[in-house]
Amino acid sequence: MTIELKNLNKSYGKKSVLTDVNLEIKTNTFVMLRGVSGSGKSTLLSIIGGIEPATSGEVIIDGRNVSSLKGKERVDFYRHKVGFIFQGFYLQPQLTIAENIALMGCFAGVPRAERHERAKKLAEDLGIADVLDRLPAEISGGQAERTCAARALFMNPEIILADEPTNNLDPENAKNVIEMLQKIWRDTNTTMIVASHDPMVEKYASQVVSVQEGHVSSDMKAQED
Amino acid sequence: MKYMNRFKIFDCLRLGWKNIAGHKGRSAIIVVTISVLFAAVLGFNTLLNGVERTFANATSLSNDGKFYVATGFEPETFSCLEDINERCVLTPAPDNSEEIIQKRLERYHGKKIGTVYEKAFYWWEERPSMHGDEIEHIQHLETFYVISESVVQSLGIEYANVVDDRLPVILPVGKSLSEAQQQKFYQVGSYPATKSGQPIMSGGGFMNLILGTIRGSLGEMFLIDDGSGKIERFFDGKNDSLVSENTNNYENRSEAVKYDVAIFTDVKDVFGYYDNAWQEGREFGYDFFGRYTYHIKDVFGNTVNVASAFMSLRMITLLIVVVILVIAVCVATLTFVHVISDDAPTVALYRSMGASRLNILGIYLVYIVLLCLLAIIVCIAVTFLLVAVAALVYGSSLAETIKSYYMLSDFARVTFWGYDWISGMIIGVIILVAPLTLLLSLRIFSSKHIAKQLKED
Ligand SMILES: Nc1ncnc2c1ncn2[C@@H]1O[C@H](COP(=O)(O)OP(=O)(O)O)[C@@H](O)[C@H]1O
Ligand SMILES: [Mg+2]
Repeated sequence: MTIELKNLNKSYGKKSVLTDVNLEIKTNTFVMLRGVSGSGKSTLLSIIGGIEPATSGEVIIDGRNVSSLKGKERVDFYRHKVGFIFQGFYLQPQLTIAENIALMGCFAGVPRAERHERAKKLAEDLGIADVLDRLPAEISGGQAERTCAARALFMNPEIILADEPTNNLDPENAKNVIEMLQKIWRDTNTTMIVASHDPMVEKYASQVVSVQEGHVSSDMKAQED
Repeated sequence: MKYMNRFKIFDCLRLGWKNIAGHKGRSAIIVVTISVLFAAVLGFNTLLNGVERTFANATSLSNDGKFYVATGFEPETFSCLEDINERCVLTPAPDNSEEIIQKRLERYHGKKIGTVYEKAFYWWEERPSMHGDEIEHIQHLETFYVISESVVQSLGIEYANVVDDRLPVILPVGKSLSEAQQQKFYQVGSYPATKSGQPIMSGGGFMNLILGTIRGSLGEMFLIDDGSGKIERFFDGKNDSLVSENTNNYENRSEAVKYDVAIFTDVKDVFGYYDNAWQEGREFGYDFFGRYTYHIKDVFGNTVNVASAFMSLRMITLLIVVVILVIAVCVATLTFVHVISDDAPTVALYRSMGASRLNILGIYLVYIVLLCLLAIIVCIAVTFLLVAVAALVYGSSLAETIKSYYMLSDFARVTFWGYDWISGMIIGVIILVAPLTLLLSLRIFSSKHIAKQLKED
């Protein structure tokens, strides 16, 4: 499934953030959105994921314009097409790690037993099985990042959108997390889009998109293993 | 994998509940705020109902469990339309007055036992002036009540052996005949009605308000009509020995109003009978636009007066209750709206995860309704506490007041606890906060700018 951005513009009031963005992302690509802080990476990520409307232009995923999705189609898009890893974790403090991971399953109507199974499996894959019954306040930053990844993966989305996943972590943990994302990407056939100002991320990406003063330019990289 | 793709009610309940349990401090503050606000209104209403019940108990005791209530239509009601020409009309009592009264008495288990006539006269009296030897002419209006023999029998009062040229009269306890009256009237019995005058409680502003509204009834005296014709002669001024021997004179003022006297054995029936007459007022009761006038009065007691006093109190307090209730609803709703706007990131997160607007409405509906239910429980508990404190502080002085007011040697049935439809309304209104809040929060639930709430600054 390809993602196509056509003549995309975004401004907040008078302030223009993205100007005439045209971009194509092929299916199963590891994309890095690179740029300094405030360049518009998060905004671009949100527009692709359909959680922020563009001022003009189109985001076409699977041949459908994301901004024109209505009602049930939009809900299904969130439930099955995309998974977000937000910069602030937004883990629900009142829910356990297992419940946080399985939250999307509630809305999608996944039966309880199956939700539990899947959360457990994901936690094992991502190395957080031992904290499943804890509350978010009782785990480390690296574990929280992994919880967020597990949560995003829960419904097997086709696109994962991660915003600064290494930001709050020490270099060691940052590397672990990015390698985890790479592994997920390899194992699951998803399109992984990571917004980051961290140069370290670049060498894991197969496509690097530079965001600079509202303009976007894209580089395809040879896959390095 | 295919799922029903539907958010389950159980999960909705769980997420709503977790939102309460996971934020204990916040939930507690909300519950306490709402319950205290509403408990103020509920407590006030409960106290009013309780005191009303206390008075009902007292009136039951003082009347020996029997209530004599008189009901009657004004023979003619004179009323003017408030238009330019001020057209005035005289409406006679309905033809089926008797039937109307009978039907309504039946509904409240009242048994008709006789009649009472009300007749008003000007009473002219010549008195030596305070200064010098001059004679003063004093005019005052006197109302006579003439009760039928059957009512007197029901009271169990002996009246056969009265002096021939005087009219037998029953007086309430505490009232005595003047010297001039003694020449015409003969006291045959005293009925223990309430003491007139209004005892005032020390420091009890609320009680004083109530006592002030209840009239000490029976300033009147009741002439007994034994069917001998003495009363007609008295009113016609034809009985020489009663009327014309001295300078006193009566001047016929109005047509007599005939009342049917019924006996009730349950104070609740009397209250119901009176309340209902008021509610049906526009049908055949007093009406400003030229209809009938309909009276319900006490005979030997003040049960109807108590019912009427509490009804007018209720009118005033209902207004206060509604005003406080509106304020309470506003405060509660704004509190919830504030909480939900604080929760905007959570709402945004849920939506980015594929929760529909309906799903989120469901979660927050559960959240608010559960908090409201908790608030109702706490509210009732706080009300109990308020009532208990009131009973402790005012209980004995209310009992004392009632003992002296109703001349009871003992009175233990003081209560401050009572409920009515207004209590139900107050509790029901708490739940109303939920849909109101959700309506005001729709903006947050359906914002297109989901990402805006999920940007960590
Ligand atoms: N909701 C918003 N309202 C107004 N301005 C915003 C909003 N979100 C982002 N911006 C502005 O848009 C620009 C790009 O922001 P963002 O996409 O977060 O950049 P990045 O993620 O690259 O740091 C910044 O200048 C920011 O101040
Ligand atoms: Mg950013």
